[in-house]
Amino acid sequence: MNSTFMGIEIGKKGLLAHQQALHVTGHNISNAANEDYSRQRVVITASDPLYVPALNRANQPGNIGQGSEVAMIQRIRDEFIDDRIMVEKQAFGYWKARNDFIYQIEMVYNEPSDQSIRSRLDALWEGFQELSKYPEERSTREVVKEKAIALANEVKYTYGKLYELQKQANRQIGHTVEQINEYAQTIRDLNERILKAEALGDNPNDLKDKRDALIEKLSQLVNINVSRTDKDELIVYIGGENLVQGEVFRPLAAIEDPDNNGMYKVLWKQTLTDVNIQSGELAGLISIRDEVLRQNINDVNAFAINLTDLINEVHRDGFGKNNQTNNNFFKHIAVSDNVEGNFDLNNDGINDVTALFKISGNNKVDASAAIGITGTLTFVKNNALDQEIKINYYATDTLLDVIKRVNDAKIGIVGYINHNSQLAFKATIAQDTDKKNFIIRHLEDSGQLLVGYAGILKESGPQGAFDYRRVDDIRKIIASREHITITPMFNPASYMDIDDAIKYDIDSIAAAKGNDLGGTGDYNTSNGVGDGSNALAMAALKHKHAMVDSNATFNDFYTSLISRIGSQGEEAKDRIASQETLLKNLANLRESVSGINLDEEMANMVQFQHGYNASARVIAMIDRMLETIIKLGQGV
Amino acid sequence: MQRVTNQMINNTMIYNLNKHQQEMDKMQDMLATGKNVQFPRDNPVAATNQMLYKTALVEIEQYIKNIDESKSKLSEVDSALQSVIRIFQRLRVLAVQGAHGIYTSFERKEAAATEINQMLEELVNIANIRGATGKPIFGGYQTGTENIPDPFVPIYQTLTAGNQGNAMIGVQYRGNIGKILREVANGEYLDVNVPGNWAFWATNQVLSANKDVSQYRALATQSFKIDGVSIQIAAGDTIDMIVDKINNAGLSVKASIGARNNLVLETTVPHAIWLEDEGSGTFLRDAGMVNPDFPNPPNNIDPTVSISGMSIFDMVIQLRDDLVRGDQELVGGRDLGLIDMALDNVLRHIAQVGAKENRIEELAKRSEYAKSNILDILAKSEGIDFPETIMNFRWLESVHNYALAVGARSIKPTLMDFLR
Repeated sequence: MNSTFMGIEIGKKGLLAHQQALHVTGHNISNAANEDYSRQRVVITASDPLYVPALNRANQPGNIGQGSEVAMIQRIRDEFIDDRIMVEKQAFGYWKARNDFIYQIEMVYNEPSDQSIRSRLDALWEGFQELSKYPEERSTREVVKEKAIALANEVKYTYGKLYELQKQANRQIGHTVEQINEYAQTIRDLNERILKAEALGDNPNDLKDKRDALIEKLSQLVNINVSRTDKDELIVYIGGENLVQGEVFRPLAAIEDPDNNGMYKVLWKQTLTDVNIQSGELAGLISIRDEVLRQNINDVNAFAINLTDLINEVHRDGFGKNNQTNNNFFKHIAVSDNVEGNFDLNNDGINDVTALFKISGNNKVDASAAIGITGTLTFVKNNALDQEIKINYYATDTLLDVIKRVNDAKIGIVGYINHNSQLAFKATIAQDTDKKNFIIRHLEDSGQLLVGYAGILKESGPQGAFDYRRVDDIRKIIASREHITITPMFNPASYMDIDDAIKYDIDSIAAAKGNDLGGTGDYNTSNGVGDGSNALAMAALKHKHAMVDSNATFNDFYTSLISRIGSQGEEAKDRIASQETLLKNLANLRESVSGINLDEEMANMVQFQHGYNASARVIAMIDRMLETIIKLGQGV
Repeated sequence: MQRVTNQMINNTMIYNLNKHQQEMDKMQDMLATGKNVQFPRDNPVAATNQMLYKTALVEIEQYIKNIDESKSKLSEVDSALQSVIRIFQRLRVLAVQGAHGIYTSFERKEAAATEINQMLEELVNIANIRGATGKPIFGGYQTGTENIPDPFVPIYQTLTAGNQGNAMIGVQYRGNIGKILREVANGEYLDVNVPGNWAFWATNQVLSANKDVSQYRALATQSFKIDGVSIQIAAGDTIDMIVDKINNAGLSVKASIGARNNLVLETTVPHAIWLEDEGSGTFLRDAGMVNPDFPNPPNNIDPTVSISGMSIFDMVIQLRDDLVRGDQELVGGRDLGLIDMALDNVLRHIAQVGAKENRIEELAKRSEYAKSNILDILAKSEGIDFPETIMNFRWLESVHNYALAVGARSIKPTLMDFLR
């Protein structure tokens, strides 16, 4: 038998279910502009019917429906799309960080325009040409001086800006690590709340939305993976190690690294082990700071020191209008405070290396004649291993062949024939640490090439070898001190300037060449004030293949630097654009699943409203039925 | 079926509008500056090419400046040498007249001597002539310092013959052999001066030392310079080997061993030989050529060396003295011949200067042509195609307008508009 009031109960259930459905629809509509929100849906199911199959069931057709009830409030979300977005966001973050910085580096170089290192350099070459025409005039000297100062300032400015960018990237790394920790901490807190809510059988949909949004933000910063396999424990990994595991959070830390100029290194705070950072903004920032900016700074340094040294080399042989000679043109500040080049590399207060940048031999050589001697040169490569490299030379080789062999080996030392037809070696940027930039590591010759032929080393064989890891090793070198340049102080671009001798007396600019009278081994008598040939020799350096590594001219070197940064910029720009399109499409895909369509909600609302109205009608209807029965009783 | 939400429509619209605006911004930048590359990233290849073209342009403009300046330097030399020729034409007339015995009377001799002395002054003035920048043009690198203001210094003496009074008896060259070079193209240097010891020389010079060098052996590897060209000798070289080296050095000087086993140097083109030991070398001193007390040029020839050969001034002075003496035979024979030799030498220099002027003219044309090529290629590389860019801009503009119109319509209607 059915109860008399059963209909009212069914009507009430209908009212309640539709009311809740209307509330959820309202929740959806009010979150229509919330990008993190996933649409929710009320799952209305039929209540368990009356009479389970048993012997005591009423003898009538069944089951008898008992109306509806809300089974759950479902969050509609596709986690596979989330994972795709997470991966693409990492790449996006990486390229975004690179793009921002490379754009700024391009602005520093200010190319192609007429205010740049290149235009200043062109102006200096022009200045030397004009000086060569009127060496006796003060005006042309003044012009050369001003052009040189302008170039030096431009180099200093460029270095300063690049260094500023490097520090800025470093600050951003520290900031990003803090942000990662903050997000991870919040994810941990949310994990806790979600776990508790789910334990009570609730659907913490909005908390999950928040957590997913944080994971997405985190994925732009660093390469993360998320494991959702355990329902009760969401795990966030960075490079395979847990950042968050359920309610446990392992923070990162940015620690100053003494091996990298005190720049931040990202470590796990608890174990102080390396973090495997592959992608995301953090990886982008690190690659910008340690690769792109370091390379650019080193290149500007190399540009500065090579220009300084090469112009000085020619300038020192020349004579000023005031008959002065052996003056530098650009200022050279040696890293060591003594003339032997002894220097304290590891900062323990005791000199431990001999730091020489350039050595040219005493003897004039014919570079294109066969050398007629055989032997093996030994160098030490400019990497952390200090590995030995052996280069053989044979009697039929010319010196140019040998130089090419050395330069092609890319071992951090470059040979060339200088303007006085002497063999010269100079050091390049170090591969391991910036502190060892511009230091010649090792020179050794089993035969006579560097010894008797070129006049660089005193003795052949290992006992005559020069090695930078010994102090006072300058005594192994026979070349006169005038032929040796001590390694410059760190970051020569940062203090590039013209020499004081020239700053205070432009007549010291050596436009004239001279003669060596009396065989002193140095030019000691000027050719006369009308001679501009030394200025011409300096102007000719424009076309000298003098820049290290690439064996290019100064202009080539600088141009290739710009072309490199331009290509990097172009790549970053293109990658960003494609990543943006990809992410937009993925966001739309997710939006298609989880987003709110107001028309749809409106239609649902009308539907639920009708359901609600109709349920009320059912109650009214039952009410009238009951009234009929009650009236029937009164009538008797 | 794919659901489409209001947010998606919104996102897509904003995305597209943004993209158009970005492109319009870039095109506006291009149209406003007329340049297609603002940053290297816009087109790395074009950016680096533009840098190379700009550097090449600066360079070629410098070469053109150098060429123009070289032209005026050469024409200074040219006009100075032309003046010398004019004086020589008059001298020749005097010499021919003297050879015919016109200047026999005392008065006439005196008049001729006075005229020739005036010419000598004029010749020295020309030799010391200063160029546009106020510096002597025939002094090599010696362009007028306080202690040596002029490259040619005349020496006067009171002469009673012909009642000449204070007259020139010689001229010393105190300049040097410096070649003033101009870079007129990449790695191409042109000397734009003629040193005085070449320009104002009349005959070939012969220097014969007065020392037996048959047993000479070089003690050490060393070098010396003749006319500024370095000659290397190795330890143990004999005099014959050294003579060979000099003769194969491509100089206008020939070396030989004289009758007394002495070293003899002779020019093949009239000029004064310039000798110096280089560095610690001592060969020229050992051979008795260079004065050990004054080893540095100029005027460093050992006093024991017998020198023959005359400068233009020596030659004119000799003509004057012969005329005053009334030696018709010498005037008509030797002196007239010498005048012709001197004329030949000056004309040779004028011809050389002319040849250089021609060469430089060609270089100027070549450089101007190269410059216009660079300008052309630079304009092509950095300039934008205005009509094309404007057409693209208009096209983008209309696309943007459509996007706005469509967007406005697609986000407007909702179900709410149709419910009560």
